[in-house]
Amino acid sequence: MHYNFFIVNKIGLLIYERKFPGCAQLDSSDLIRFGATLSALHLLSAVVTPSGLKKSGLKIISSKFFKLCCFQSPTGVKFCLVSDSNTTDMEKLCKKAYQYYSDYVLKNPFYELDQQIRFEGFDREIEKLFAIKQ
Amino acid sequence: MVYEFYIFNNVGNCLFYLNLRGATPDKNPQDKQKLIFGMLHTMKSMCKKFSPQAVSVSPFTSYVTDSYKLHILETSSGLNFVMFTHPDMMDQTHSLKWIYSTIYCTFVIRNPFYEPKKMITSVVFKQKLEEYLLTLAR
Repeated sequence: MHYNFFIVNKIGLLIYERKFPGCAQLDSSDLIRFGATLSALHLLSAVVTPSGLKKSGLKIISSKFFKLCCFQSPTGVKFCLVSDSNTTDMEKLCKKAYQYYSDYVLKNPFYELDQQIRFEGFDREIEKLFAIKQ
Repeated sequence: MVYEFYIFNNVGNCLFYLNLRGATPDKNPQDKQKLIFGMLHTMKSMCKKFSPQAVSVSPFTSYVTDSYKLHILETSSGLNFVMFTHPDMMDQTHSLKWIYSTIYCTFVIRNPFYEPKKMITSVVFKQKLEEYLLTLAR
Protein backbone atom coordinates (compact mmCIF):
# COMPACT_ATOMS: atom_id res chain seq x y z
CA MET A 1 0.00 0.00 0.00
CA HIS A 2 1.46 3.31 -1.06
CA TYR A 3 0.99 6.53 0.87
CA ASN A 4 2.77 9.30 -1.05
CA PHE A 5 4.92 9.92 -4.09
CA PHE A 6 7.19 12.97 -4.46
CA ILE A 7 9.65 14.33 -6.96
CA VAL A 8 12.29 16.71 -5.61
CA ASN A 9 14.62 18.59 -7.96
CA LYS A 10 18.35 18.94 -7.45
CA ILE A 11 18.12 22.16 -5.41
CA GLY A 12 15.56 20.72 -2.97
CA LEU A 13 12.31 22.13 -4.35
CA LEU A 14 9.30 19.83 -4.47
CA ILE A 15 8.16 19.72 -8.09
CA TYR A 16 5.54 16.97 -7.92
CA GLU A 17 3.55 15.33 -5.16
CA ARG A 18 0.84 12.73 -5.11
CA LYS A 19 -1.24 11.48 -2.17
CA PHE A 20 -2.83 8.03 -2.01
CA PRO A 21 -5.61 6.96 0.35
CA GLY A 22 -4.36 6.33 3.86
CA CYS A 23 -1.52 8.86 3.90
CA ALA A 24 -0.70 11.11 6.85
CA GLN A 25 -2.21 14.62 6.84
CA LEU A 26 0.41 17.04 5.59
CA ASP A 27 -0.23 20.65 4.61
CA SER A 28 1.58 22.48 1.81
CA SER A 29 4.26 24.05 4.04
CA ASP A 30 5.09 20.60 5.43
CA LEU A 31 5.54 19.30 1.92
CA ILE A 32 7.86 22.13 0.90
CA ARG A 33 9.89 21.51 4.05
CA PHE A 34 9.99 17.82 3.24
CA GLY A 35 11.61 18.44 -0.14
CA ALA A 36 14.39 20.54 1.36
CA THR A 37 14.86 18.15 4.30
CA LEU A 38 15.17 15.11 2.09
CA SER A 39 17.82 16.73 -0.10
CA ALA A 40 19.80 17.71 2.97
CA LEU A 41 19.52 14.23 4.48
CA HIS A 42 20.61 12.64 1.22
CA LEU A 43 23.75 14.79 1.19
CA LEU A 44 24.49 14.30 4.90
CA SER A 45 24.15 10.53 4.70
CA ALA A 46 26.90 10.58 2.06
CA VAL A 47 29.12 12.74 4.26
CA VAL A 48 28.86 10.56 7.39
CA THR A 49 29.86 7.35 5.57
CA PRO A 50 32.35 5.41 7.73
CA SER A 51 35.90 6.28 6.66
CA GLY A 52 37.28 4.15 3.88
CA LEU A 53 33.94 3.37 2.24
CA LYS A 54 32.59 4.89 -0.95
CA LYS A 55 30.35 7.88 -0.18
CA SER A 56 26.75 7.27 -1.19
CA GLY A 57 23.42 8.92 -0.39
CA LEU A 58 20.53 7.21 1.32
CA LYS A 59 18.22 4.89 -0.58
CA ILE A 60 15.64 3.56 1.87
CA ILE A 61 14.49 4.92 5.25
CA SER A 62 12.69 2.35 7.42
CA SER A 63 10.45 3.11 10.35
CA LYS A 64 7.80 1.20 12.26
CA PHE A 65 4.92 2.64 10.25
CA PHE A 66 6.33 3.31 6.78
CA LYS A 67 9.21 2.83 4.36
CA LEU A 68 10.55 5.69 2.26
CA CYS A 69 12.49 4.85 -0.90
CA CYS A 70 14.51 7.62 -2.50
CA PHE A 71 15.95 7.05 -5.97
CA GLN A 72 18.34 9.72 -7.23
CA SER A 73 18.77 10.11 -10.98
CA PRO A 74 22.24 10.98 -12.37
CA THR A 75 21.06 14.62 -12.75
CA GLY A 76 20.16 14.95 -9.07
CA VAL A 77 16.37 14.65 -9.32
CA LYS A 78 15.03 12.51 -6.47
CA PHE A 79 12.01 10.24 -6.81
CA CYS A 80 10.60 9.39 -3.36
CA LEU A 81 7.96 6.83 -2.59
CA VAL A 82 6.42 6.45 0.87
CA SER A 83 4.74 3.07 1.44
CA ASP A 84 3.90 0.76 4.30
CA SER A 85 6.63 -1.37 5.87
CA ASN A 86 5.95 -4.58 3.95
CA THR A 87 6.47 -3.17 0.47
CA THR A 88 9.39 -4.58 -1.51
CA ASP A 89 10.82 -3.57 -4.92
CA MET A 90 10.15 0.11 -4.28
CA GLU A 91 13.25 1.08 -6.22
CA LYS A 92 11.87 -0.57 -9.37
CA LEU A 93 8.71 1.56 -9.09
CA CYS A 94 10.77 4.72 -8.62
CA LYS A 95 12.84 3.84 -11.69
CA LYS A 96 9.66 3.34 -13.71
CA ALA A 97 8.44 6.75 -12.52
CA TYR A 98 11.78 8.20 -13.68
CA GLN A 99 11.12 6.70 -17.10
CA TYR A 100 7.67 8.33 -17.23
CA TYR A 101 9.23 11.60 -16.06
CA SER A 102 11.64 11.61 -18.98
CA ASP A 103 8.85 10.63 -21.45
CA TYR A 104 5.96 12.85 -20.33
CA VAL A 105 7.73 15.76 -18.65
CA LEU A 106 11.17 16.31 -20.12
CA LYS A 107 10.10 15.65 -23.70
CA ASN A 108 7.22 18.09 -23.34
CA PRO A 109 8.29 21.33 -25.14
CA PHE A 110 6.26 23.49 -22.74
CA TYR A 111 8.02 22.23 -19.62
CA GLU A 112 10.59 24.52 -17.99
CA LEU A 113 13.29 22.66 -16.12
CA ASP A 114 13.03 22.61 -12.29
CA GLN A 115 9.45 23.93 -12.33
CA GLN A 116 6.28 22.36 -10.95
CA ILE A 117 4.94 19.44 -12.97
CA ARG A 118 1.32 19.88 -14.03
CA PHE A 119 0.63 17.51 -16.91
CA GLU A 120 -2.38 15.24 -17.27
CA GLY A 121 -0.44 12.59 -19.17
CA PHE A 122 2.13 12.25 -16.41
CA ASP A 123 -0.56 12.21 -13.68
CA ARG A 124 -2.40 9.46 -15.55
CA GLU A 125 0.70 7.28 -15.91
CA ILE A 126 1.69 7.73 -12.25
CA GLU A 127 -1.84 6.84 -11.14
CA LYS A 128 -1.72 3.70 -13.28
CA LEU A 129 1.75 2.75 -12.04
CA PHE A 130 0.94 2.93 -8.34
CA ALA A 131 -2.61 1.62 -8.58
CA ILE A 132 -1.64 -1.63 -10.31
CA LYS A 133 1.04 -2.50 -7.78
CA GLN A 134 -1.18 -2.07 -4.71
CA MET B 1 29.50 -6.91 9.87
CA VAL B 2 29.47 -3.91 12.17
CA TYR B 3 31.58 -0.91 11.16
CA GLU B 4 31.03 1.71 13.87
CA PHE B 5 29.04 2.19 17.06
CA TYR B 6 27.99 5.45 18.73
CA ILE B 7 25.99 6.41 21.81
CA PHE B 8 24.48 9.92 21.93
CA ASN B 9 22.42 11.48 24.67
CA ASN B 10 19.31 13.58 24.05
CA VAL B 11 21.28 16.86 23.90
CA GLY B 12 23.65 15.65 21.22
CA ASN B 13 26.80 14.84 23.17
CA CYS B 14 28.57 11.75 21.96
CA LEU B 15 29.03 9.54 25.02
CA PHE B 16 30.77 6.67 23.31
CA TYR B 17 32.43 5.82 19.97
CA LEU B 18 33.79 2.48 18.79
CA ASN B 19 35.39 1.79 15.41
CA LEU B 20 35.53 -1.89 14.44
CA ARG B 21 36.83 -1.55 10.91
CA GLY B 22 40.38 -0.60 11.78
CA ALA B 23 40.40 2.01 9.01
CA THR B 24 42.41 5.20 9.41
CA PRO B 25 40.64 7.38 12.03
CA ASP B 26 39.28 10.81 11.02
CA LYS B 27 41.30 13.90 11.84
CA ASN B 28 38.42 15.43 13.78
CA PRO B 29 35.89 12.85 15.03
CA GLN B 30 33.87 15.46 16.99
CA ASP B 31 32.79 17.19 13.77
CA LYS B 32 31.56 13.94 12.29
CA GLN B 33 29.73 13.08 15.52
CA LYS B 34 27.93 16.42 15.50
CA LEU B 35 26.96 15.89 11.85
CA ILE B 36 25.63 12.42 12.62
CA PHE B 37 23.56 13.68 15.53
CA GLY B 38 22.15 16.59 13.55
CA MET B 39 21.20 14.35 10.67
CA LEU B 40 19.55 11.81 12.97
CA HIS B 41 17.62 14.53 14.77
CA THR B 42 16.20 15.76 11.45
CA MET B 43 15.44 12.24 10.29
CA LYS B 44 13.62 11.43 13.52
CA SER B 45 11.41 14.52 13.38
CA MET B 46 10.62 13.86 9.73
CA CYS B 47 9.56 10.30 10.53
CA LYS B 48 7.43 11.55 13.41
CA LYS B 49 5.63 13.88 10.99
CA PHE B 50 4.82 11.01 8.63
CA SER B 51 3.49 8.56 11.22
CA PRO B 52 -0.29 8.09 11.31
CA GLN B 53 -0.63 8.32 15.08
CA ALA B 54 1.06 10.61 17.62
CA VAL B 55 4.08 8.91 19.17
CA SER B 56 6.37 9.96 22.02
CA VAL B 57 9.52 8.25 20.77
CA SER B 58 10.23 8.53 17.04
CA PRO B 59 9.50 5.32 15.11
CA PHE B 60 12.58 5.74 12.86
CA THR B 61 14.64 2.51 12.97
CA SER B 62 17.14 2.45 10.10
CA TYR B 63 18.22 3.67 6.69
CA VAL B 64 20.23 2.04 3.89
CA THR B 65 22.69 3.48 1.39
CA ASP B 66 24.85 1.71 -1.19
CA SER B 67 27.81 1.36 1.15
CA TYR B 68 26.35 1.11 4.69
CA LYS B 69 23.24 0.68 6.82
CA LEU B 70 22.53 2.77 9.90
CA HIS B 71 20.47 1.27 12.74
CA ILE B 72 19.22 3.37 15.65
CA LEU B 73 17.44 2.72 18.90
CA GLU B 74 16.07 5.68 20.86
CA THR B 75 15.15 4.98 24.47
CA SER B 76 12.48 6.90 26.39
CA SER B 77 15.25 8.62 28.36
CA GLY B 78 16.60 10.15 25.15
CA LEU B 79 19.63 7.91 24.68
CA ASN B 80 20.46 7.06 21.09
CA PHE B 81 22.30 3.86 20.21
CA VAL B 82 23.59 4.13 16.63
CA MET B 83 25.22 1.34 14.65
CA PHE B 84 26.81 1.53 11.16
CA THR B 85 26.85 -1.88 9.47
CA HIS B 86 27.14 -3.61 6.13
CA PRO B 87 24.14 -2.71 3.89
CA ASP B 88 22.79 -6.28 3.70
CA MET B 89 22.38 -6.65 7.44
CA MET B 90 18.86 -7.40 8.72
CA ASP B 91 16.98 -5.26 11.21
CA GLN B 92 19.08 -4.98 14.37
CA THR B 93 16.53 -3.50 16.79
CA HIS B 94 16.64 -6.63 18.94
CA SER B 95 20.43 -6.55 19.28
CA LEU B 96 20.40 -2.82 20.08
CA LYS B 97 17.79 -3.54 22.78
CA TRP B 98 20.02 -6.28 24.14
CA ILE B 99 23.01 -3.94 24.19
CA TYR B 100 20.97 -1.35 26.10
CA SER B 101 19.35 -3.71 28.59
CA THR B 102 22.29 -6.00 29.29
CA ILE B 103 25.65 -4.49 28.42
CA TYR B 104 24.90 -0.78 28.96
CA CYS B 105 22.81 -1.21 32.11
CA THR B 106 25.25 -3.61 33.73
CA PHE B 107 28.56 -1.92 32.92
CA VAL B 108 27.62 1.75 32.74
CA ILE B 109 24.52 2.50 34.81
CA ARG B 110 25.48 0.20 37.68
CA ASN B 111 29.04 1.49 37.70
CA PRO B 112 29.30 3.80 40.75
CA PHE B 113 32.09 5.79 39.11
CA TYR B 114 30.10 6.67 36.02
CA GLU B 115 29.05 10.33 35.80
CA PRO B 116 25.91 10.84 33.73
CA LYS B 117 26.22 13.04 30.62
CA LYS B 118 29.97 12.42 30.49
CA MET B 119 31.88 10.17 28.12
CA ILE B 120 31.85 6.47 28.94
CA THR B 121 35.39 5.46 29.88
CA SER B 122 34.78 1.99 31.28
CA VAL B 123 37.20 -0.48 29.70
CA VAL B 124 35.00 -3.47 30.56
CA PHE B 125 32.03 -1.93 28.76
CA LYS B 126 34.12 -1.41 25.63
CA GLN B 127 35.41 -4.97 25.81
CA LYS B 128 32.01 -6.59 26.31
CA LEU B 129 30.46 -4.44 23.58
CA GLU B 130 33.24 -5.27 21.11
CA GLU B 131 32.86 -8.98 21.88
CA TYR B 132 29.13 -8.82 21.28
CA LEU B 133 29.35 -6.76 18.09
CA LEU B 134 31.89 -9.16 16.58
CA THR B 135 29.37 -11.99 16.98
CA LEU B 136 26.81 -10.12 14.84
CA ALA B 137 27.70 -11.72 11.53
CA ARG B 138 24.39 -11.07 9.77
